[in-house]
Amino acid sequence: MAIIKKILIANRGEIAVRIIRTAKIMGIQTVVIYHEMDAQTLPVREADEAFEVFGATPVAAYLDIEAILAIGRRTGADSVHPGFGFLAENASFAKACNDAGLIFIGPDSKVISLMGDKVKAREFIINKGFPVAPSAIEEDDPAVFLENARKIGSPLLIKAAAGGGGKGMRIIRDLSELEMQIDEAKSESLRYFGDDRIYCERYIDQPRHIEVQVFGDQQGNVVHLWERECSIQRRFQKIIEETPSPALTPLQREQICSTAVEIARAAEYVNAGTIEFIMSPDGKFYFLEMNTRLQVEHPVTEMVTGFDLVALQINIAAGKPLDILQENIHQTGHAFECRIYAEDPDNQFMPATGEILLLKPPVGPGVRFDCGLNSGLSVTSAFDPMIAKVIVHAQNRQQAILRTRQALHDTVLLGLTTNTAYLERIMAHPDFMAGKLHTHFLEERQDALKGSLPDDKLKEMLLAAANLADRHTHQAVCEVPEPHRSMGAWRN
Amino acid sequence: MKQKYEILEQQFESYLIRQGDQMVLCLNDKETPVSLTTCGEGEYILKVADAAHRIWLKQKGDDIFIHLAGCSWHIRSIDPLAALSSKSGGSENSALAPMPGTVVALKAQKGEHITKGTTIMVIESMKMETSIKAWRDGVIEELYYDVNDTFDRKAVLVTFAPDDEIDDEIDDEPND
Repeated sequence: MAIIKKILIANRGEIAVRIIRTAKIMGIQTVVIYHEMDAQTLPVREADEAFEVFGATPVAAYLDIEAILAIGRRTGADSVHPGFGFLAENASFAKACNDAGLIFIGPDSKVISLMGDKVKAREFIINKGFPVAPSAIEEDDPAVFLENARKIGSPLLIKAAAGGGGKGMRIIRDLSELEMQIDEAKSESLRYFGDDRIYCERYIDQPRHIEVQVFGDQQGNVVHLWERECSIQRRFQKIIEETPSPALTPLQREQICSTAVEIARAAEYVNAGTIEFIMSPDGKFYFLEMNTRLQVEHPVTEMVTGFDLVALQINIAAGKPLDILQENIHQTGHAFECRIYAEDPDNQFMPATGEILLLKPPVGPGVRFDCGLNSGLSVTSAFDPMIAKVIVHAQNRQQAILRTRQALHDTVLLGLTTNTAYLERIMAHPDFMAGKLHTHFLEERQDALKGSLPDDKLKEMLLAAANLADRHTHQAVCEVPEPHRSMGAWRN
Repeated sequence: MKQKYEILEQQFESYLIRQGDQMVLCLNDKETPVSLTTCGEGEYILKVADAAHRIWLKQKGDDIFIHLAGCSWHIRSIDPLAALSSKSGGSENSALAPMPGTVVALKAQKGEHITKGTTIMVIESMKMETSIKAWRDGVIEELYYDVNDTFDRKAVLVTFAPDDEIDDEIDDEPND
């Protein structure tokens, strides 16, 4: 068994802050990498040591494996936490860390490779007898593939084998365009992932995205920490997640979670992982993909189970056995996570940029705010526009919705456009409150979820505040002597 | 002393007058006593008539950001002089970025004469690529970003040298 004393965090923003927080509690030192654009962000100040990394683009800096390993050697780090995104699911990175004597806090590079290739992952799942949606894999003869794809029927999804996380996906409803769409998808896939392999899958209408958190230790024990529902998505990206899922009966919950455990066992999975399923309206569920890393939405699981998932990851990486029995892992209450994005929901979710003039996080019982930025920092288009997460826990779903809406209401972020008001409108929608969710929820209710113009009373308040605060106006008014000042704008 | 402010693309005229110690807002022929008292970093108590509201407010140049009634509002102060000039979102000589993003490829060079419709550069945002094409024939005066540089929305991406024919016309407009 190893002792982890110093973790090198190969990530940035709120997840880097979150990993550092647990490390501090465990008495573990931290080293963080950063690109110049992130020099003033929270993780750089919170870590014990910070080192600049360089790249052709800011994102590329966080992908420089050689530089990261060199920093590991230099600082005497004994382990690496990759966070999510960037190198978290890069099998070569995981292997390179282990070869360099740095414990990779995550699963084995072989299973990362298996689950990262979405076609190989599906084949593995099918061979083990788990349910997948009807699909067609590319064959040597493109004509055969086209025929098989057509047989799946409409609507269908074209997905990139090297994609995942919603990237490189397209929905086809008109099969006459199939050949052209396949060609376009392949060229796009080659451009973005360096791999043009694609596959087709039957598209389930009104699907619900249900995923299960699993953990495996080096001794072969596997447990699940229940499920999360992530059906509220825009552009195939999750923006609201919750646990437990309002869609499942206790029996379905038991089935989906134990299936996830079986999949993890079959893959001899070690450390944190999430198995994503698609649930159709008739209650059937199908394997979608497995993510071999910690997920953005992991905090909702922490809120209802009471576990610190990063602490579990570190302990497993150090070789400690999972000291928990499945029957002792319970869900208490309900939790939501809302992702705050710098974007304009009323303008096709156009990414927004700007300086954060004021940031005031929401506080209160059951309220958690994960963020890597503070006032004075700028949000640019260099990175993903997610700037913070509001995570809320309460006794039941109804209470959790009310508490989350209040937290969003109280979140002050001045200086750029964000989706906080939009998130609140979603949660106030009667269908959301009734738990009638599916992955097209937002698209279907586009008009209903649009922001409304301020009423006269609100306009009056805003103009009063603007006039009073606006230095020029205020000064001009104060400088004018009486009686002219009281006369206002009256002129001959 | 009339102030023009823009909220969600609607413009409003209003002004403040002082009656003794009390500030009064004049809006739509209505006069309302108002006050703004600071009580923390960016935090204020706004009083409009008899109602008090806790707000947060920050100003940056002509942009005023206010958190009020659980929402964030962006109010723009309209400079009356600027409204007179023809400055708007870009001129016929420059192209502004439609969204924040990164330059993926440059297809033309500074000083190059290109024809209308030619692709000047390819930009990328949210994994979507867009081509910036020449909107007229002309000579490229300047390209402001290199491949892999990032830019904000409305950033000037490329300018054409002013068209010779337009420069030859007599300019009757008053200077700004």
